[in-house]
Amino acid sequence: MSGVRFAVLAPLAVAFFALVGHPRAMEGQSLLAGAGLGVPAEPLEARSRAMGGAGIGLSGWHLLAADPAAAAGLALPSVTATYQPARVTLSDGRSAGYARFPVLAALHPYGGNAFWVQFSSFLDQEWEVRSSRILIVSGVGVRANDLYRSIGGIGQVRLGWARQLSESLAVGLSVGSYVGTMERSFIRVVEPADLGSDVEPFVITGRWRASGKTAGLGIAWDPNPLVRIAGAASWSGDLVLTPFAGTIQEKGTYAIPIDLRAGGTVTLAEGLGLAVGVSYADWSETGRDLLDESTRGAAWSYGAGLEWSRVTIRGRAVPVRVGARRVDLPFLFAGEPVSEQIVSGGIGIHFLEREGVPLARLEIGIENGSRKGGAIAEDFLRTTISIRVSGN
Amino acid sequence: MTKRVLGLWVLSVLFLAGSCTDITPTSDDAGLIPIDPRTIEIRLPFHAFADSLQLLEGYSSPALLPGALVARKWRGDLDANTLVRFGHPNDRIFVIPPGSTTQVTVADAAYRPIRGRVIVFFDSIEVSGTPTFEFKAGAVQTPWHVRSTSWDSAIDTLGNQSPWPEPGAGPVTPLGVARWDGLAESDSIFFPVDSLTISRWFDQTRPENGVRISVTQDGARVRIREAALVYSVRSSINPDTVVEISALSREMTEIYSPRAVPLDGGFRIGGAPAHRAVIHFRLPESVEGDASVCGSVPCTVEFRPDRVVYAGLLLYTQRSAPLGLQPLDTIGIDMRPVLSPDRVRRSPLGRTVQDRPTFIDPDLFGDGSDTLVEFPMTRYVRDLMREIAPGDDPVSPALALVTGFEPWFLERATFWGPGSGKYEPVLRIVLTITDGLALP
Repeated sequence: MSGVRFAVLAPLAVAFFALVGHPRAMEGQSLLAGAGLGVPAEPLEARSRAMGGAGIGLSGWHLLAADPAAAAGLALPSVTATYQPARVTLSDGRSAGYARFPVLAALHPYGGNAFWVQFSSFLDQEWEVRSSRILIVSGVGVRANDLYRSIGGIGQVRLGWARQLSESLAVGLSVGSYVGTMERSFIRVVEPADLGSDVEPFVITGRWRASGKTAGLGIAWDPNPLVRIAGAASWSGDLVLTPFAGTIQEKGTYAIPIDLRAGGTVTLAEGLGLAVGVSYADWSETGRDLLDESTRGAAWSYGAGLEWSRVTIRGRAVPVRVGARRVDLPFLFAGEPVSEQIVSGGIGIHFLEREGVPLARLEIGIENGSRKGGAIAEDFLRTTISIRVSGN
Repeated sequence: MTKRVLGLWVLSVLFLAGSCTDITPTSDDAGLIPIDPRTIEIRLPFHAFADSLQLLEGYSSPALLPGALVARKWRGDLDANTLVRFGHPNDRIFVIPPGSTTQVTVADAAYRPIRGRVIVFFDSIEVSGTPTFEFKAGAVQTPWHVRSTSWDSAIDTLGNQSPWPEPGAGPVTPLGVARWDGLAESDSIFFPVDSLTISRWFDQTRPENGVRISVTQDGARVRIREAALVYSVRSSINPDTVVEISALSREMTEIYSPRAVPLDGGFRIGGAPAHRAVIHFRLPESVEGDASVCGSVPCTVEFRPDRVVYAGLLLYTQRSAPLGLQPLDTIGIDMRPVLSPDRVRRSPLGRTVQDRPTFIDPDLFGDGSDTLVEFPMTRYVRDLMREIAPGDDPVSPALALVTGFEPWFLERATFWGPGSGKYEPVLRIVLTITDGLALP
């Protein structure tokens, strides 16, 4: 098989894999999204996911949402997209899941600088409650069906710059804004047989548009060819949720903490790398803006993984990865802290290379994890597929 | 080639994006709902939701009812006679001329009636009283108008009021007496008619043309389904030829006594001519709720259309008078907005505010019934509360309670009206109230 034919068939294989491996009708992310501002949707691409990392300090040069400096060494225009279907199994046996694009980015190098634009996910807010209940109206029982639904999510759009200051040191900066909308609705339908034939549903809907400033700073340092160390800080102004589309709800303003990340990669042996990553954010200030102050305060994530890059198929490098990670969710659920425990694995495929530089690559990461909060326990299987194409 | 590969990647990504549909994860734990909506009921007495009640009558006519009625002292007080007018006679008959050897016929417009009979067909299902029934028929002597005639008036149109010389369409020229045993096998009787009367009825310009049919037995009530005039005529061309011709009734109506007694503040709906009850709504913007509505402390409940999940008008049935006009069958009552509230009597009515008429059992209008009946009207109450957008027509605050169609039948439905104490009309409004969809 020629490289060109391989490259042509690859996207078709991706589509086949994603469709066969996951249900066609993807479902929402997590009932835990009902806590606080939602469930964080980290904009990590497939390689970070597979290696249990925090999306920072990986070897090589990449367009990573959490690591602005990682793009400094990209010498060709690039686009990257990450697709993420998942399935969640709830403690009561029902299935849930989602499908989304957590990262979309494009980069253009100019004069030794790399300029990029990036759309990335931040918070997921899709969940609903359906409840049948008996209301007491004037002393009489009336059956009613309630539906509370939250849809939408908050993301970020960022413009970035990265540059290699020396062969071993790179820096990156980004500025951006929150984007996205959130819609919450409540519908109550009472049973006509209990009230009267001309019953109308009660519907109340609120829609909010997200806004707010963000900025990021990253640094990557290669003290020697076998080690990379990176750190990044992401600052955020207040996240502002402004009602729109005729709704009369109140405006919400939330302090978002600085997100600190550090990570690195060590080459243990030829073709074998160890990556570690940690992140930290103190959500206490956000808690003061929430009605129920339901944050856990400091939220940590840490993980590690191995990459074995000596595997080849028909002359193409196919690195194999495994990892594990623990992530604290920032918001309490039913008054209890929630954490995710994840084991992961994945592969990468370099389809096209020119002079040792991959021009088209596919990364696949699969995570198997669990999380629990209050009466809600969830197991999830999450696949992340990242595609990067470079060229002039 | 790189561009083609890039294109394929883009296509595959778009394909993936388009092939997935999110379905939100769902819990059945009501405790996860971050708001606490309350569904409460408010009951407004009549003068808290309406300015006035207006009773109207005179819509439509008994002539539009199917068939007609005869009764005498039915339930002690109802007398009813049926009036029938027959149509044009045939303008010609066709006969074979005398001496003709062929079967060719010729038209004969100068034929003469020689005898006839009025046949009356009964609705054998709607018969009350003790058979055998005795019926009388008589030729009407006074000009009458089928749409406006009543027990006392032969004609009651704009600018032309003319009473019967004798109430009940009298006097009449007797045509005869017939008896009917009330059995289903025999559903008709007939009265012989002489040639002179038939000849008069042939003159369609005579406004007094017609037959009055009555029953003589106290406590009888019989519905007439149809009446026909069958008459024999002799040819002027061939006097040996006699032809029998049949003509169905052209106009038929019923006149009855007594009229409904004036109703003091109550609702009267239906009958023929039909009655209507019009409520002039004036909803408050809010009410003060007590502990049963608000919980521990009193509160102000603001009326907003999106809060109303149900609204219904509660009326207590009232014994209809006279007894002979109490409903005998299920009556369907509709509610329709009066499109020109400043001209209620002549205003057209809008579309019904109900999904279907409210059907009420006739027994609820008997002695001592006083039963609560609810008329759902959620959308109308919501519309009344809604602010009028520029360019939209305002919702009429006048709502007419009418029978599903007019006339429904002769009998009327009556309900207690404002000022009737425990039977006072009430507007029942069920609302769901929240403090809004708060952010986290």
